[in-house]
Amino acid sequence: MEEIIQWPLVLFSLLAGAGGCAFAFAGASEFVGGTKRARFAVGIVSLVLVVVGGLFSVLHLASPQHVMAAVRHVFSFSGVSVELMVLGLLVVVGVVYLVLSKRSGVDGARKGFAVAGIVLGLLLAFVTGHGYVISAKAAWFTEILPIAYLGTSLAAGALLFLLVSLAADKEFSAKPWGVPVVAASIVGAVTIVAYLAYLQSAGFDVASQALVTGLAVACGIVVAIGCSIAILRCAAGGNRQTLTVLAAVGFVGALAGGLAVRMLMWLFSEGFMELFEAARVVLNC
Amino acid sequence: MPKKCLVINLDRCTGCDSCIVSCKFENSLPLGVYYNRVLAVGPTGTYPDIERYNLPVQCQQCEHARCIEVCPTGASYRDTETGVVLVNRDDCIGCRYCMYACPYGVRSFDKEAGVVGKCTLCSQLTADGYSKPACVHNCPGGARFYGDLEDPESDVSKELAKYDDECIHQLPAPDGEAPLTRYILSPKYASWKENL
Amino acid sequence: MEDKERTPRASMTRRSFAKLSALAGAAGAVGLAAHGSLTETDQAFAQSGVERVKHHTVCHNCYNNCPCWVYTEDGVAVKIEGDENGTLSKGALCTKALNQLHLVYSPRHVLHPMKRVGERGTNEWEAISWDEALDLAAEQMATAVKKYGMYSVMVGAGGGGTYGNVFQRVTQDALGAPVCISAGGCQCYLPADCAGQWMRGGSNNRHEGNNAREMWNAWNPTMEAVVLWGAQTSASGAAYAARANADMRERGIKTIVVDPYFTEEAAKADIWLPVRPMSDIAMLLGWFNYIISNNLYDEEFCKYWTNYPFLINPETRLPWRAEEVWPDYVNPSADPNGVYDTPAFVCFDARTNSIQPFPFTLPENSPVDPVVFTTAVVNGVECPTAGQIQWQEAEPWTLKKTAEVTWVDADRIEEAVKLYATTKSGIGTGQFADMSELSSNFIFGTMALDMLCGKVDKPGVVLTEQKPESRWTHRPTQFWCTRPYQETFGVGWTVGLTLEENTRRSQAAVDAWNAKGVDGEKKRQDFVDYQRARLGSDRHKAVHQWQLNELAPVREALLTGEPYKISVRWEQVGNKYCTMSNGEEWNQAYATLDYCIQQYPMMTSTTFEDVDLFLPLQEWLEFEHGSEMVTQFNQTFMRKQVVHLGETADPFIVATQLVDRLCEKLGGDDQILDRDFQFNGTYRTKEDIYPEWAKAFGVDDWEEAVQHSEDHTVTVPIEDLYQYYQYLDIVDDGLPAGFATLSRKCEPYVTMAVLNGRYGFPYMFPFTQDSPDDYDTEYDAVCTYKEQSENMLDDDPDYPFYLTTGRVAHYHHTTLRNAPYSRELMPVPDCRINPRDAEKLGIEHGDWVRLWSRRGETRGRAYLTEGVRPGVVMMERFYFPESFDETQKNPSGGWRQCNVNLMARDDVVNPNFASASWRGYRINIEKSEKPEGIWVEPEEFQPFMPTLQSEPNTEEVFHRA
Repeated sequence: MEEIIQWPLVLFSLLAGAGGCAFAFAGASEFVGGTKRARFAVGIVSLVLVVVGGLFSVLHLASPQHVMAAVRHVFSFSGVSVELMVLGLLVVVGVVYLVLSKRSGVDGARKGFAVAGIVLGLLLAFVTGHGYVISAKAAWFTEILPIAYLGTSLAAGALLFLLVSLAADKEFSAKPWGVPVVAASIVGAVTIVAYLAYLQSAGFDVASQALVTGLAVACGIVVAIGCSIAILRCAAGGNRQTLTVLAAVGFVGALAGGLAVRMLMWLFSEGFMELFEAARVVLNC
Repeated sequence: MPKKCLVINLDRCTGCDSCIVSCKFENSLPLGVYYNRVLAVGPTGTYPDIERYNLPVQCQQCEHARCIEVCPTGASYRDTETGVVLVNRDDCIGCRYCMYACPYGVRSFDKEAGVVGKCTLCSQLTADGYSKPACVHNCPGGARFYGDLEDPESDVSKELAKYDDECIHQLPAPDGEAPLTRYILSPKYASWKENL
Repeated sequence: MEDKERTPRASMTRRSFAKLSALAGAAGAVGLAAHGSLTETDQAFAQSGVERVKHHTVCHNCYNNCPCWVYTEDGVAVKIEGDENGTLSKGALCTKALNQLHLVYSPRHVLHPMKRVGERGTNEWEAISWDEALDLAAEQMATAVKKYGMYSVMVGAGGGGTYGNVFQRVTQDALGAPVCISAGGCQCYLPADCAGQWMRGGSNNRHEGNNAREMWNAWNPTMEAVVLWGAQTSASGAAYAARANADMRERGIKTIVVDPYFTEEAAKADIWLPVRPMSDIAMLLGWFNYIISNNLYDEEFCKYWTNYPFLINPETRLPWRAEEVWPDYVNPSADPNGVYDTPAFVCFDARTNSIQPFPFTLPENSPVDPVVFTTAVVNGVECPTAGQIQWQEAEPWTLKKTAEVTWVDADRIEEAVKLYATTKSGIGTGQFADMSELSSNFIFGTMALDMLCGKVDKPGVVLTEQKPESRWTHRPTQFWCTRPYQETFGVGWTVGLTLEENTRRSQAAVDAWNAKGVDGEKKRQDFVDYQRARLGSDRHKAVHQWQLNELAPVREALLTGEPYKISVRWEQVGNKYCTMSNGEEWNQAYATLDYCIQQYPMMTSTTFEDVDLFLPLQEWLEFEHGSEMVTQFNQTFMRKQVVHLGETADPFIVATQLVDRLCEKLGGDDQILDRDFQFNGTYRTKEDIYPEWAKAFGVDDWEEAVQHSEDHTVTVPIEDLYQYYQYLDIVDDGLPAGFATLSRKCEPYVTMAVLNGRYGFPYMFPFTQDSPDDYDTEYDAVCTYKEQSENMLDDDPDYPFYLTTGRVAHYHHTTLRNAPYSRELMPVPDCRINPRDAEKLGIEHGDWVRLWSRRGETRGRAYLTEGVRPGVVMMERFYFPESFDETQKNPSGGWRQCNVNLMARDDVVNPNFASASWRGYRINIEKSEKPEGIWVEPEEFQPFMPTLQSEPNTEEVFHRA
C-alpha cells in the first residue's frame, strides 16, 4: 500500500500541537514566572509552528482551491472543522496577545488573552488528535489517541518553551520550570505507554513496528524524562548552557516521541474493512 | 426521508464484473479508480467440501454515515430529497478524511482530479423516476436491485420479501453505522462470512 | 412488449447533471447555503446539453448476440446499455459488450489497409488504399496459384462469435483451396455439431447458441433437473445465462454439475461431481451402467425410437438390413417413389423369441417387440444389438469402479445419476471435451444417455428442437449443415433420401454444369479432390463437416512442402498464437509463406509475426448485418451501423471482393472452383445484400428500416418457439415423422461414425475417401472408455501436475485484451493452484510461476484457491497486445509470456474429429519472475484508452457498387 503514513498530517499535528502547548506555557508563564522577552519569543516561535503546521495540513489537500468550502462548512463541527476553528482562534488570540505584550497598561487584557491562549493551545493539541477518533479504524477509535497527541505535544511544548526562553532572554530563570517540565514529560510518557497498551490490547502487535515503537519509548519516554529530570536538578542556578542543551535534547526527544506515536497511528491504520483494497489483492474470479 | 439503496442477491451473482465496468463507463472513471468492486469470498473449506460466493461492494449508504460527519467542507452530504449519500466534487478539498472514516473502504480517490468519488446510486439516471443505476440495469445475473427500502412496492422490498430473514445480511458495522445495503445469500449455497 | 421510451423532459445527461452541481455550488459560494439536493431545472436547461440519440443493435463480442441500446452525441458513441426487452437478457450486458466503446475508438483499431514496410516482426506499416490492397493481395494469391495451384492458398478461420467463423468456408469453397485451420472447429463445437446431426438429425446438447433451452422455459416450466456437464454458462453466455440459471433454480430446477473446478455453476449446484479432470468418459460409463442395471431407462423409447435394438453385424459394424437376412423381404415403409429412405432392420423379437425384420412404424403398429439389450444369431453370426454393444462398454463400470477412477465419492455419483434418471431432465454439455482426444466419446455418450432415457423432443428435456420449422411434412432429411454442395457440385449424401435419389441429385448437379458449358463430371471430381486434399482428412474423416484440416499436418506441409506447397495465407481472424498449441513451430512454419494477408479490426501477435498486408475490419458498432449472428433465443434483431470510422470494412465484403479480384488476376471466373458459390449471404457491396435482409425482416427498404432498428425485431412467440414430439407427427407417407437420421430414429449407436470412418461418408458420396494403412479409421460408434494420453492416473513424476482450463466472462477467445477496463480487472491470466500445493512449492498468492510440459513452457501468476483439486492447475489463454506497443523498448509478439497453449498438444488427436488437446495434459510448475513486456497495473493501460472519438463518421468503402 502506498503512502501509509500521511506525513503532512503528521507534521501538522506535531508542529501545531507542540506550538500550541509551547504557547500555553508562555501564557502560563504570565502566572508562574518568566520574562516578557522570553514570553514574546516563545509566542512568535509557537505561532510560527502552528501556522507552519497548518500549512502542512494544506499540503495534504489534493484540491486546496476548494478550501473556501471548508470555511463555509465550519459549523458542522467535523473533526477538521473543529481543528480549523481552534487553530484560527489560537492564531488570533496569539497575535492579539503579542500585540498586547508590546503595550503597557493592558495587563488585565493581556493576562486574559494569556489564559485564552493556554486553553486554546492545549485544546489545539487535543483536537488535532481527536478528529481521528473514528469507528472505522480500530487503532484510532479511542480517546487515548488525542490524549496521547496532547501528552506528547505537552512534553514537546514544555521543553520548547524552556529552550526558546533560555535562548531568547538571559534574564530568564529556569528555576520555577523544573517541576512543570518534568510533569509534562511524565504526562507525555504516560500517554505514550497508554497508547501502546491500547494498541496491543486491540490486537495490534507493536513489536512488529519495532523501530517506531522503540523511537517512541527511547525518545518520548527515556530522553524526554531524562532530560527533564536533569533540568530539574540544575534548574536552580545551573549552568545556562547545560540547561539549554538539555532543553534542546529533551525537546528533540519529546518531539521524536510525538512523531513516533503519530507514525504508529498511521502504520496501524488498517480499516474495519478495506474492501476495495482486498478486491485488488484477491482478484475476483 | 427515503432509504434508497441497493439489494444484491448473491444467490444470483456470478462475479462477471459487469457492474464494475458499467459503473466505470457511466462515471467516466480513470484507470485505477472504482466506485464498486467484486470480491471473491472463498472458496472456504477443503476441496471438494467447499463453498464460495461473490460479494459486490460499493458505498453501503449508511444511515449514520461517518463520511458525512467527518467531512470538513460538506462535500460529503446526504441529499435531502432522495436520502442518498453523495459527494460534491466542487467542494471536495481532497483531504480523504471520508476515506479514513468509511468502515468499508469503498470510496475512491481520483488522483488526477484531486477529489474523492464514490457510488452515487447513479442519481443522474434515477432522477427521472424510473431509470435504474447502470450496474443494476446491466447486471447479467439479475442480481442487483435499486429502490427505497421504506417503499414495500419497490424493487428492493419485493426482492427481500422473497427470502427468509436468515438469507438477508448486511455488512457488519463497527459502531452502529447501519449500512442500508442488503445482501441476500441463502445458506444452501454458502454461509455468510462476517469476517472477510 | 412495449419499449420503455424516455420522455425528453425527464432525461438528463451526465453533462447537465454536472452543470447543475456546479450551479448549485456557485449559488452556495456566498454564505453558508446548504446544497442538499438535486436541483430541478427547466426543460430548456436540461436540453441545452448535447442531444443524445438512441440506437438499437446487437453485440458481436461472442456468439450470444445480446441486444443493446447505444447512445450517441454528435455522432460519437458515448454509452451502451442492455435492452430490457431482450427475452433472455432482459437488459443485461456483460463487460465484453460494454467495452466496445473503448474498442471502436481504440488507438489500436486500424482504420486503413496497411502494408508492411521492412521485415516481418518489425511492426512497421504504411497505409494504402483499398484498391491497392485488394490488388496486392490478389496479385500475390494469383502468383501462388499459377505457380503451385489453388491448394497453395490457405485460410485461417476463427472461433464462435468471431468474424472469422463462417465466411472463410465460403472462401475455400469458392476457390477450391482445401487448407483451412481453426483453433476451434475440430476442437470446438464441430464434434457436437456432427453428433447432433448424426444421432438425431438436428441440434445437439451443447449449452450454447440456441440449444438446451428447455431449462429456461419460464412460461411452461416442466424441467425438474439439468446436468451441466463441463459447462460454465455464466461465463460462456455471460449476459443472460447467470440470470436465466438463477431463475431456473428459483423455479425449483435442480442442477447437477460435473466439473473438476469449483465454477459458479458448481458453487450453486445441488450436486457437484468434482471429477478428476478428463475422467468424464469413465463417469459417463458409470451412469450408463447404473441406469441400465437399475432399469431406469425408457424402454419404450429405446425400443421404438432408437437404434439400440438393431442387431449389429460385427464385421461391418453396421445394423443388419432386413433384406440382408431375408432377401425377399418387402419393406412396408419403403417409399414407392424411391425418394425417401426408411430402412427396415433386424431385431430380436420378444413376442416370437426369434430374430425378425424390424420396419419403421408407429410403436403401436409395430410387428415386433424388440429386445434392447441382447445378442442373437444372424446369418450364422452371433450379433449383439447396438444397445448390447453400449452395455458391454458400460458393464465393468460399477459405482465402485467409477468412483475409483473418477475420484468422486460413490454415494455422490449415485445421488446424481438417480436424480438425473428419475426426473424430467437432460444433459447439457460444455466445450471442454471437444478440445481433447475424448471429443467423440464424450458427445456420443452424453447424447446417447439422454436417448437411452427417452429424454428427447418432449417437455422438460435438453434435446429439443425449436420453432415451427422443426416440424416435418415428409420423412425428415438433412444435408450436413444445410450446405448446398450436393445441388452445386453433386457431392455429398442427403440423409433420409435413398441411394437412387442421392445419385439422381448428384447427377442433376453434373447436368446443371454441363448445361452452362462447364464439364460437370470434372467439376464434381474437382470438388471431391479438393475435399480429399484436406490434410489429415484421410484419418479424421469428420473434418469435412466444417471444411477443416487436422492441424499438425498443415504445419508439416508448410515446413516440408509435402504433400503440396502452401504459399499464401489468408488469415480471416485474430491470433492463432494465442489459441493453438505449438506456437514456436507454427512461427517457423508461417515464416515459410510467401505472403500473408490478415483481415481483422486490430493488429495482434499474428500481425506482428506473420502478416504482410493488413485489411481493417469493422468493430461491431460499425457493423451492419441482417442474417448472421443476429438471433438470441426467440428474437432476431437488425444489426445497425451506429458509427463508422475511416475505411473499416465489412468482413463478408472483404472476402468476396478479394475472391473477385483474384478471378480477375487469374483471367476469369472459371479459374477458380466456383466463384458464385455462396451461402450465408456473402455479398460484394452492402447494396447487394440489402434486399435479402429487407425480406428477412419483412420491410421494403432495409436502409430506411434500420434507422429504427428497434421497431423491426422479429420475435417468435413463445408458444411457437417451444415445440415437442415432432417425431410423432404423421407425415405424408402415413408414418410418424421420426428423425432426420439414416434409420429415421435416434442413433445412440452412431452408424454415421462407422460409415464416416470407412468411406468418408456422407461427405464424399458418390465417391469415397480411403484410409491410410497406418491409421485405424474404425471409429467408436458408442461411448467407449478413453483417457487422455497424458492423464492423472499415470505415474509421471517429471510432470506432477495436470493442466486444465476454462473460460472467464471477461474475454472471448483472443479479443478484449486491449480493453483497458477489463485488463485492469484481470490483467493477466490467473494460474489457479491449490494452496496446499503452492505451500510445498513456496509459492504465494500473486507470485509469478513458470509452467512447462513436454511441449513448451510459459509463465503465469499464481491464484491460490481451494476451488481446484490438489495436483491440478487451471489457467486460461492470453496474449498481450502491449508487447508491441510503440512504448516498448523490446517489442515482441506478446504471445509467449503467459500462453498456456505453448504447453498444449496437437500430435495426438481424436480419431473422428481430429480434436487437439488444448487441455488435459501433464505439467510442472515452479516459482519464477514476471515476464517482460506486459502490463499489470491499472495506470499502465492508459495507452489503450480510446483516442478516436474525434474521427468523423465516414461512409463505408464498399457501401455501393
